[in-house]
Amino acid sequence: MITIMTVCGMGLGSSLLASMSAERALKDAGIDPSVFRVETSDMGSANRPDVDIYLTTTEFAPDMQQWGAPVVTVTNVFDESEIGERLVPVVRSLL
Amino acid sequence: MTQKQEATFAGIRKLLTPERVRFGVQAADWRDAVRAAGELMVETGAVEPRYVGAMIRSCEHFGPYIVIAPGLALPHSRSEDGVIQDSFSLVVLDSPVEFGNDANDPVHIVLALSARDPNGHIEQLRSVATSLAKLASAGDDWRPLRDATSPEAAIGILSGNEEDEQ
Repeated sequence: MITIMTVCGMGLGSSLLASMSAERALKDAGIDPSVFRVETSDMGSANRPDVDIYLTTTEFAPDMQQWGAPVVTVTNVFDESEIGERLVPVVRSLL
Repeated sequence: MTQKQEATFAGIRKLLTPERVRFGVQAADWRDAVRAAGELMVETGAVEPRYVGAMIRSCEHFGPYIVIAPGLALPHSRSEDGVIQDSFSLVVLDSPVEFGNDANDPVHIVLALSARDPNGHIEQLRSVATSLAKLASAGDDWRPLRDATSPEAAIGILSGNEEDEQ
């Protein structure tokens, strides 16, 4: 199971919205929903060894580079095509 | 409306009450804009006054990450920063304001939120998210919200109640 963690400052708000768009983007790309799950978190709790991919807005990315998993950034949490373009190749590379 | 839509609409109306909606708000800068949205929550008993400062500080700390889509800011802070009730407040700015987010500035719409716990209102945020995503993809700088003629109309738009639009 590929674990994708969306992250923002507080763990509610942009991370939740990004997680919804990510789920739709992956589904639209034809990726089997049973092979991934999307969780949301705040910066304080997001750094976990079981996370395979981080998804966040650009402000948080620099601090997350050391966490040992690829960091995918987005500018618009509603833009499924932006999220899809950036996230789908990384998910596919882990399948 | 379907029963489910009615339940969602009722749910959002509890959080985004008409008293928490303001149009034509003049803000000199992003702090003013966030403060305006925060004050609507303070006045209506949703948060303590210190929550407004906390929202501003989190933007100063993390950068303008709350500008989550072109033209839209979603300021918020943690429950321990003075949340009394779950709520939304909506400020439609008279003229757009820069928040320092290169990709998504300038901001037309400030939708502040308060949550007593991060999981407590996920359904409400999800249903607002659908309407927000639709408005964001229309690419017209949130015109339906900016042109709304009443708080009820704006609440209707955000809760996906299309009937109010016609």
